[in-house]
Amino acid sequence: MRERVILLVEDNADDEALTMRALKKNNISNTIVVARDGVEALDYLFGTGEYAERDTSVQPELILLDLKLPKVDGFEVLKKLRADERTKLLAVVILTSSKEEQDIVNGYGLGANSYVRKPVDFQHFVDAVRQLGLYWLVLNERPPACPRNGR
Amino acid sequence: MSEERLAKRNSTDRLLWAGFALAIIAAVAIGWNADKDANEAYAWSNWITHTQNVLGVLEDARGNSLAALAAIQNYYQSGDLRNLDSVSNLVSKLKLQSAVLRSLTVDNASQQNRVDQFDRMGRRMAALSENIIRSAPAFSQQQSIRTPEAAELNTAVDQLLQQLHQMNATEVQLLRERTARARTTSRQSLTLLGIGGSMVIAWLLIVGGYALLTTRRLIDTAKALAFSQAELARATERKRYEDDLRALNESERRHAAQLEVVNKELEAFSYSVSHDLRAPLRSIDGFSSALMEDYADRLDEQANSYLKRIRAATGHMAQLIDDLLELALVTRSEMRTEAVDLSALANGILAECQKGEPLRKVECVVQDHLVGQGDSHLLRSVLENLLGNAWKFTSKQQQAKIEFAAAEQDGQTVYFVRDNGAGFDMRYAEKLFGAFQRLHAAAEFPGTGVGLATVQRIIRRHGGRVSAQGAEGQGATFSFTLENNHGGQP
Repeated sequence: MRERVILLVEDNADDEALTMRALKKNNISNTIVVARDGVEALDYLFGTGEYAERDTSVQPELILLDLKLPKVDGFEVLKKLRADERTKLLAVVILTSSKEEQDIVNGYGLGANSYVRKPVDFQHFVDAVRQLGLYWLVLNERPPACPRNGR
Repeated sequence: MSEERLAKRNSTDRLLWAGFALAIIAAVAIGWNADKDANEAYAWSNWITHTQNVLGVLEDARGNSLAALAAIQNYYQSGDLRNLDSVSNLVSKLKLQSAVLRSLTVDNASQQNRVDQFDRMGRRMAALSENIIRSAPAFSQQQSIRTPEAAELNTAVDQLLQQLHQMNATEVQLLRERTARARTTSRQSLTLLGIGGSMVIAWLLIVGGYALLTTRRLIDTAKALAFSQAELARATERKRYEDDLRALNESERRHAAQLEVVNKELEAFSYSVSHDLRAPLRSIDGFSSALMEDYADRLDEQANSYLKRIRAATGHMAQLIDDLLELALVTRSEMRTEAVDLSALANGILAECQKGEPLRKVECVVQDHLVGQGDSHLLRSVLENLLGNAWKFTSKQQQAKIEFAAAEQDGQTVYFVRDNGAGFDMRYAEKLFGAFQRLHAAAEFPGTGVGLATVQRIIRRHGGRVSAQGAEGQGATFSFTLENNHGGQP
């Protein structure tokens, strides 16, 4: 049985830990792959660099994408994965501190499926992650072209 | 005026003065010449009179000589010696006339010679006639008539007449010459006077004309100069105005550019604030929460209370950041002016407040149909802050009342939010609108102190004014205007 992967693109270790905690608290048991900058995220998605051995026919169920990242930022990652046949239909949720109008517009413009602002209050964050998991991993029907897990 | 034109004018002036001098010199010279000619003419006329006198004497002498000749002829015919007596008389007359002629022709050598001969003839006549009278017997006609002396006397008279004739001819010639000379002189004088006069008049005309022309040109030049000076002044004024305008535009452009730079910086700053300042807060809150959850059995009540305080402070800090961002957004966001139903907005906001605290009983009075011109998003923020404050500060009131209405003041619509809440000390009214300024303890009434600063910024952006009135424990009234209510449509 193939793992259902969630790709978490997050450079902040604290945020990473808290996101993991929130996922765990919501009993989301998917494999979490963490990319700590944009380059790492793209390497994972396209099987390059340190992920050269990876089978790119298996793509993450959900990508939680931060915008402010070292080397290559979230927008650039989004642009590149939407431009590639293998990744263009992946579910991407922008998960960021920013609620700048420009960021939201840009995010949707580049093809993000959702835009969620990380709340400061941890309980709110846990609640947000719960809803995200419920929606994108359970409720949402994936596009047919994308290979479904477990098939 | 240019150097060249100045030089030209100077030379023209010199020419003008030279013309005047020449005219004056010509006039003087002509006058002098005319005077000289007149004197000459006068002299010539004197000479003519003189000649005429000489001619008169000569005529008399001729008459006397002819009379003497006639007396001699009578003597020849009659032999009467009395005729010879009259000849003697005539000869003495002739002597007198001879003396007169001598004195009159003293300037003329040839005439003097003739006068000498005239004298000689006269003397001879006198001698001859005396000889005849002396030698001839009285009334002896036949004898006496044919005497040689008588014949000689006759010849002498003839010669005398001849002399007289020559003198006369000479004098007539002289008269003719002198008359001609006098006429020439007069004519010359007249011609000179005419020419001179014409010349002077011509000069005066030329000089006068030139002076007139120069004067007119000078006046024209002066006028042109005055005009060009006025023009120059106008041009200078215009130039300065344009320069000012350009400087103004330039400074406005610079200001706009600076403003843009500041806005860009502010944007970058608020991005940092919203992104980077919130991240540590999330960590603090997240891990505090983790501690409380995961280590609840090992933490006593005190420790739990501290963690709660940490989380409360974190929440407050997050709110502060959001409010600050809102404040910054108010300044830099684009404004869209439209008619905004303020009554509906106010009702909606108060309903939200009621929903948040369903147990509170607040009498809310909102005047119907209040429509203001402005940005709906920003005006919502204004009412949210003002009504939110009213809701908050009436929380300790038994019978809370919140009112939103408008009134006409000096032709301007003034909107106001009035409550009967905690109020404030008017001494600090100005401080109310500063960011982070609070007149109440956070424990008493929570808040970040940014709300009214936001309100003021929004109202100012709309060109209106905002003011607060109140007293401690007696409620507060916040009034604001929107520029477009005063000046009609934007």
